[in-house]
Amino acid sequence: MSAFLFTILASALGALVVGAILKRRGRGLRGGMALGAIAGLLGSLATMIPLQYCVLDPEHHMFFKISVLGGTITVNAVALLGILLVIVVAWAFALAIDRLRHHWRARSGTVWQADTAPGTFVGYDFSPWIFLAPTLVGLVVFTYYPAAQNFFLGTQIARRGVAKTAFNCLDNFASLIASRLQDAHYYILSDGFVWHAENARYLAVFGNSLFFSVFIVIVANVLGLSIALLASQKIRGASVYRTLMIWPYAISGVVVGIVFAILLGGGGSGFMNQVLRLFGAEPVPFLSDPWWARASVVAAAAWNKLGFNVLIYIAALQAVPLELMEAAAIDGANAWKRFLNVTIPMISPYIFFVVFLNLNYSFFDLYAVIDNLTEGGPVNATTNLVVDIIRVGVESRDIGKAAAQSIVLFMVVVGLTYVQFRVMGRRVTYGAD
Amino acid sequence: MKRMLIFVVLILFLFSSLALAQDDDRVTIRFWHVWGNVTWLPDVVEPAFEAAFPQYDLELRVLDGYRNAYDLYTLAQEQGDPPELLQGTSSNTQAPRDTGFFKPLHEAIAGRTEINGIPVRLDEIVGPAAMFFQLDGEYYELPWNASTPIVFGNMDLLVEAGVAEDVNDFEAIPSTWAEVHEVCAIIVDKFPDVDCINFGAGGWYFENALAMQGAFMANNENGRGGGCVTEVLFNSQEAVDYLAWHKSLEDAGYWVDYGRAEYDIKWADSKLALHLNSSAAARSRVEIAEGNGFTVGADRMPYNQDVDYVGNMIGGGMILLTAGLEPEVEEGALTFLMYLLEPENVANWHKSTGYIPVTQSGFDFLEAEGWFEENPTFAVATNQLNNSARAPQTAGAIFGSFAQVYQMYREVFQNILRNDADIQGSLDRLKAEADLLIEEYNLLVPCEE
Repeated sequence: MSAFLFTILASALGALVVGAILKRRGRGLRGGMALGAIAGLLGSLATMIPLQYCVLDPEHHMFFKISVLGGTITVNAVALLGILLVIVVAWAFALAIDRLRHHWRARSGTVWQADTAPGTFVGYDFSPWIFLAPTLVGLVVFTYYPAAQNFFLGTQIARRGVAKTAFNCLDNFASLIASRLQDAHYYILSDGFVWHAENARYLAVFGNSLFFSVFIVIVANVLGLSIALLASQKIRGASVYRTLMIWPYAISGVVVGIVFAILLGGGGSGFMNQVLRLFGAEPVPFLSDPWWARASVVAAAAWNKLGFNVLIYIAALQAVPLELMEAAAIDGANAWKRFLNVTIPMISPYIFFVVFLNLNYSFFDLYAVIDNLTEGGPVNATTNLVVDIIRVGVESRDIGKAAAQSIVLFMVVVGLTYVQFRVMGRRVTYGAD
Repeated sequence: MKRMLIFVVLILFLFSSLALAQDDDRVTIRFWHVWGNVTWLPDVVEPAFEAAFPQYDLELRVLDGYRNAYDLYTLAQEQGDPPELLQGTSSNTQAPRDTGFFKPLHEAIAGRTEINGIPVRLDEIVGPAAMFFQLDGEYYELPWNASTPIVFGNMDLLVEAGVAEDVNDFEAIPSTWAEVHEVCAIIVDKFPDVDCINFGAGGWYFENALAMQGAFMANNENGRGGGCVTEVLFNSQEAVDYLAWHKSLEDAGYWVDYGRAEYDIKWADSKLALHLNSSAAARSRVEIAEGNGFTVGADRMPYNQDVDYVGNMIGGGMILLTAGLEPEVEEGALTFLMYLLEPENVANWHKSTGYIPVTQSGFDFLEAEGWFEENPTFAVATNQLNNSARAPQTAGAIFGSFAQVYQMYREVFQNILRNDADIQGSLDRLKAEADLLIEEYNLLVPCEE
């Protein structure tokens, strides 16, 4: 397919899709199609010119197979990613153009009133830019420019210490879902598998990250809240217990990893297995079995975070108004119902806060624990996204692929945060009203 | 009183300025290294060198391992202020050469026989090290911390198990693949809570296993036979045999995979009988054993008894000289490098760590002292290398994407051990992937034939 045809196709598809969407929203088919065509055109040009239309070049093509319900198709990963990229950028253009059009119409007075929300600067006053400049400059220099540079690096064959780089299209990204040996194969409800992936290393790493995030958040929060409930009871020496329960938080991930490695490692003659043996139990392959190793990482990380969670939850529980609890008790609610219907809603902002931080920790900060506990093994069973970035970028010195992976990690975190705020944010009760 | 105080402060300021000015006259030689645990360098070498050469100010900076060394150095280069000397790992000799940051040592020496009155002792570098560190007969870097894998044994355990006659019976330490099985069967049977043998998953043992069997790591005679490396030879029968042996040890429960912090604890607690490690670990193995009341023995790395032994190879590191230095600075850096090769310094470095004495004069110095007779554990590495053939197989492979290939090997190795993956099939795939990486690297740094 030629570059010209690709651009025309993107523009036509943009016109169709945006036109259809805006028509459904009652904003007119013709305007929508025009907007879609322009966004499609700009989106394809803005992505494909820097990429030199390489997604159309067979030299860069990388394939994977996907089998669903017995049927198998071969997918070109580079082309797939290229199309997704065009869609995302075109979508951003469509939103931006629509917004600009809205502003222009607002300025011309047609929808002036509707757009004048409190706190909105009206017209083209430069003063907000002056106030924003210090922050914006910082953001551009230290965040946006490195992020753009990172994306550029993701499209290169680049090795640490080698000054020269070579353009590699989207191959670094595509190699995350396909294999350069063209032998990646995914099975979904097919060939006797519910779900199975062959020669798809990165997907397994991705799965590990999700596994850790889900279970660390669950374990650290359920246990944290339970302990906080116990520690909030009026018992003698409660402050001592609280302090003791909080201190694991003060320990660095490196130490946590080493301590758990000493406790759980060493195969059958390790410390924990010696203890188990005293009770007549069989040794457990804590660090050498993939699932036990994953569980060990969850245990170590949850233990590390537990203190923080307990601290926050104790504070949260103390903030629950006693009169509400008394009122519920008078109304006949037992302890469980009071906890479920009064305590949980009242502390929901804290739960949201803790879950958000724990989730970020699970995605970004697990490196020290994993590196010292399992070193990502056995056979990558505990390698998560961050560990893999370090492994690829620092140990293997392949900064092109590491850059591609870090962009994926960034998008995952942005996506998760968005979902979290959308889904959880609605269920959070701020204040007593 | 106030005036007096101001006067004293001014006088002090004057003196300190004069002192600083005096310091400024000296040429600063910065050496970034990773030997933070060896106090001999800052405690002995630095003051002795500065006393011998007052015109130089030696600044040592400890880096957190080889992994960071090149990265920090690259940053320093980008900022236009690199140190004069950098320690690099020998498992990655090609990559730093390709950066253009460093000046080949032989070019800097330019045929001189002495630098600042210190003899140039490069022709005294012992054979195995010379072969490993030279490329086309020339030294690009200074060979310094060179080691080879050897087996350390807890002699008290071996005696108690009836394997060794006494704690000095180093011959009892297994030296073939078959002997490892035989000894481990006895150890595990005698001591259920003791692990027989541990060694890392690193590619270095794999490299050595191939070299011992006379196999090449990569084509074009490991990249030393006139052409560059374009493919690895990881799927050879020798490679399959080595991994099959390793797997058989794991299946039998003789080899146990340890985390990073574990093997020292096991070793200290006498819960590990045999430890295949770098000879550079000799000092720490001995110190731990002394502190815990047992005796350490050592012997060569076990080899495949079914094929003729060819030889082991070296690992470790070298010191790189930054290119583009001012002549007097380069002279100072070279002076320090040659100072390190002085027999007494070579000997002390060996004693502090276990790295082999890299020069013959250093070896002779130690022998004259009777060091090896008193410390036979420290003699094993040199003996092993002396028994090794001088061949391209034992010189090690040279290619730029070495670090990546090592990393991939570790993953494949674990997959074979843990998931019972087919050895030949795994190695075939590893070779295919590694070849693609080499192709990529050669695209960035075209191969100079």
